Amino acid sequence: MTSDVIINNLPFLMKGLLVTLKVSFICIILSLFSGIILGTLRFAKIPLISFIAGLFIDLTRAIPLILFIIFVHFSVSPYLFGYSAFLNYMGIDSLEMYSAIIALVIFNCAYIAEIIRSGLESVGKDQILAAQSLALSKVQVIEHIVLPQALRRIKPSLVAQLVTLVKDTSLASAIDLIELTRACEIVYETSYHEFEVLCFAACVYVSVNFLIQKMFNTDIKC
Amino acid sequence: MYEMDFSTLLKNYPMIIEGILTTISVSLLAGILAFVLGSFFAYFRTSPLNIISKITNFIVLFIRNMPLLILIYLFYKGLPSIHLVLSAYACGILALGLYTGCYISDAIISGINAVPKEHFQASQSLGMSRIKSFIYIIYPQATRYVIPILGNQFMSLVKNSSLVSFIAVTDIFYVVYKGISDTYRIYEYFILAVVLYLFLTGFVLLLTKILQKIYRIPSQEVIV
Repeated sequence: MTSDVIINNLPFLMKGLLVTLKVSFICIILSLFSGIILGTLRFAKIPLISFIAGLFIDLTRAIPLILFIIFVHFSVSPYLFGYSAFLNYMGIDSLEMYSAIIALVIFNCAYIAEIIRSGLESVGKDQILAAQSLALSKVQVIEHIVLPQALRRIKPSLVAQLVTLVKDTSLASAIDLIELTRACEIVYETSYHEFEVLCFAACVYVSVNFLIQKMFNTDIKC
Repeated sequence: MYEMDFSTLLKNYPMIIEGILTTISVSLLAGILAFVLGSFFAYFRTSPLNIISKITNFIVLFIRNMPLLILIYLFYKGLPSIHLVLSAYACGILALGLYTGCYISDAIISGINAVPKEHFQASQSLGMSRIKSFIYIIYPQATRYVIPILGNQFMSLVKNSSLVSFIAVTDIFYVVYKGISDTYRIYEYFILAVVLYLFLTGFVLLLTKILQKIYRIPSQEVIV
């Protein structure tokens, strides 16, 4: 057991951690936005759109994330690479990061949409009726009455999903995105101190996740 | 224009069947292990001894907050450096079982809390030890309460089992990935994998529904 290998390679590992944090941060923001929209669409019961949203959510939730990352990396992202001005602005320069972000956002927005929908449905029907009797439109009802209450109720499960997102960024190592897990792999492939490096990675992931849970003010659930 | 050609799948059918069988066996064994470990964790986490429950809580918290991939690597590549060599298959099952067991222990604890306190007190007054009253009185009721949650966990276990392909266990994802890199038939293999995983998770869902019906607590609404 030596800690030299970690201290010597600390800059490289930190660079990996930075990529992990960057990917997670972008994914959290984008998937929260798209998840809220998708969940509301499914909840709103607009004839065709709600059905499509439901189908998309159910299909995405049934397949493993890693399959999705590989699929996006091989099929979708080569065509889209470089077209998105927003993502370029955020400093995403590699194809791997691009496909990891697309896959993670699409995947997590389905999960978040389902959480949002369960929250929306937990709000009492009488409140919607009362709001409608005050002549609020459908969009206004969801925006001002239902969504604020729902978001408060689902905060714990939402934060749990965000933690899962951070953990899931480790799967991007399958497409050779050099984030924390891949950086650790590279380090222990050259130094043969697998146990120490992997324990270090586990500790870093756990502390990042604790930080997220503290940030959103939820109890770290034991 | 890309043309679909599903005959490449037919040529590869022995591998695909092997992949399906491996995924099923890995998820089944890991599921059983996860249930056993989850029950153990739940037993220790609700222990009246503060130090035991604190320690188990911390272990569960730690494992829940680290990626499954790291856990699998720790078993497969970390254990040999402390002179404990296991096969990739065993490592995958152990890691998956441990990871899911931590989640299942949470579900079982919520089931334990749903069982009225009087049952435990009554069993204690009959002179049962704590472990005996858990096995005979608490667990049979608690697991019935949480069958839907357990079903959800097993579904995500089936999906998570695709990660054992990282340590070269030939499961569905491994076969699909190999097929994609051999033949560049991305869409066919992707559709195949989606259909297979849909079938597997759908089967687990069906099983959960059936179990829920069989083990429904009479005169009581099933708590979801």
